[in-house]
Amino acid sequence: MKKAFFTGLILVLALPFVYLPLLSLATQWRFPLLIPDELTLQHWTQALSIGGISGSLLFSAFTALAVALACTALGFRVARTIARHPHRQTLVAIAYLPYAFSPVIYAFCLQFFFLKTSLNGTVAGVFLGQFLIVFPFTIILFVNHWTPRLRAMEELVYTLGGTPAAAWSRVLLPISRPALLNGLFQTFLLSWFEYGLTSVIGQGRVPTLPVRVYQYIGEANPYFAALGSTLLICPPLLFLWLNHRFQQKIHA
Amino acid sequence: MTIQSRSEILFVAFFILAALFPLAAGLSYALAYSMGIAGALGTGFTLQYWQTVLGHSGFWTSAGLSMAVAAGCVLLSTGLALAIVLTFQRQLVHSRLRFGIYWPLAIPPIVAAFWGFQLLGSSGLLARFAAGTGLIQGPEDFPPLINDPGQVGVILVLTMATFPFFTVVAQQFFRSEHIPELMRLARTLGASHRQAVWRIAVPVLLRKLRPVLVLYSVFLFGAYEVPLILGNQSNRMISILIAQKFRRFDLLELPQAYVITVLYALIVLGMLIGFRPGRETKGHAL
Repeated sequence: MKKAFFTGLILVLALPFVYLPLLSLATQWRFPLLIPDELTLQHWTQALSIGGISGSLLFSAFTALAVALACTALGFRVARTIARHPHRQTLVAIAYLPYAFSPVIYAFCLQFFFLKTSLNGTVAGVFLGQFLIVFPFTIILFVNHWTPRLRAMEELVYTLGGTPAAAWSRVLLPISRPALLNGLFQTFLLSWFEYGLTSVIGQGRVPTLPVRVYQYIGEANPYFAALGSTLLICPPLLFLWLNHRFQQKIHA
Repeated sequence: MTIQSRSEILFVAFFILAALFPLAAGLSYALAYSMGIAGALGTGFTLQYWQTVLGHSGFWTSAGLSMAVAAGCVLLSTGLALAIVLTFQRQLVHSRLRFGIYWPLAIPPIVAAFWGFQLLGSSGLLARFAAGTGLIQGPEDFPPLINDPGQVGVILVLTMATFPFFTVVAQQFFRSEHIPELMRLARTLGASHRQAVWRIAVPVLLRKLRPVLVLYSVFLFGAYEVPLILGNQSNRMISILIAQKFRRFDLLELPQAYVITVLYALIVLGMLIGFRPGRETKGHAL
């Protein structure tokens, strides 16, 4: 009985992953039909050729990757300093502030400064805006990774005559690989999912995939919105699966 | 001062510059604008915009609605997550389908809102099921679940988006806090299954989940995408109210937008200081 209920629950959770691709392939899906009349690739070929969605896909991927790499690298190093800082608790509390703030409201607060520096409506502005949200998150993510045990391992390298470069390349980075991968994965998703701040700072001139999906919803074009949504949920799903497999491998 | 300690100071300075300075600068500008000290409408110190906002029901309704939606979603999500973890423990550990509980984490808020629209709309998937089973005759018979004044659609979709994360975290705590062992011990000492669940598992999980619940209450209080698409436009959540005031062509609304932004920041700060989600939980149940 429990097994059946659990299966039912998972099926309900899987519903959007079936419905959205199906809607993107439908030519007409009138009420009260439960499945569309006809499935074609018409919307996909249209959207990818003239809809500009392929550009948005590449742009979103590039932005998310750039934000993830920058924030993970910097966050990992800065978190080490904060973890060993006498005012660690205060600094971690500061890291929560921009992360907890609604991105869209944060963007309205920053808009004046972005306008003054001509960053509004630019790719650099969107990158910087997303960096300001994602970077503090990496501190929250990595600060507990820098344990006294890791510090002791680092100090052991110095005791044995190793240089700081050797400590990083031979001990700290190899041992932190799972944490770094997890950080990259989570920061990529934060940027990939971001809509509120991007729509304000980008002013519609920086068409990331979430911005494009909102545009299609506003235009009452559910087929293109479903197509954009399908593209948006695929990479995170793949990452989740890879992460799940990776964690299983670690715990095996 | 050594090179190493100088670089450590630089890292802290960079952190302050990236994490605190932009927010502090933005809020200072918002405060100055709201008091007539800065901006195009700055004619000198005045509290008239503050009096307008605080004397008008718009802000209070939005803030109250946002709090109610956040509280409702957190309560529903916590209840669902605990029920799933405590009922389907065997499946969450051994079932081949257990990875399915992670799937909703791959859905961005904008897609969750669109999916909610497609699911709960008057000609959406639920209405089609209702029509298929003869419960309704047409879309007009389906109860309004989106853009409704009660924000039912917003609460349902935000809950659907939140509870899988709570489930995953609660499941981790269920193992890390050795709750199965604690429950077995309680049963050995004569407690019933119900007592073991309600007096051991639920309190321990709630205590461990507390920081996550506080953080999510703050996130949901400022939720934007879902209420933007599914919310009622006359009964608006606070992020929508702020966005609408900023985006209006009427420049006279801008100082009010900044007033509400400062008030929003104060509420968020109050929640974070009051409940301190970053505080490290010391000690384990065992």
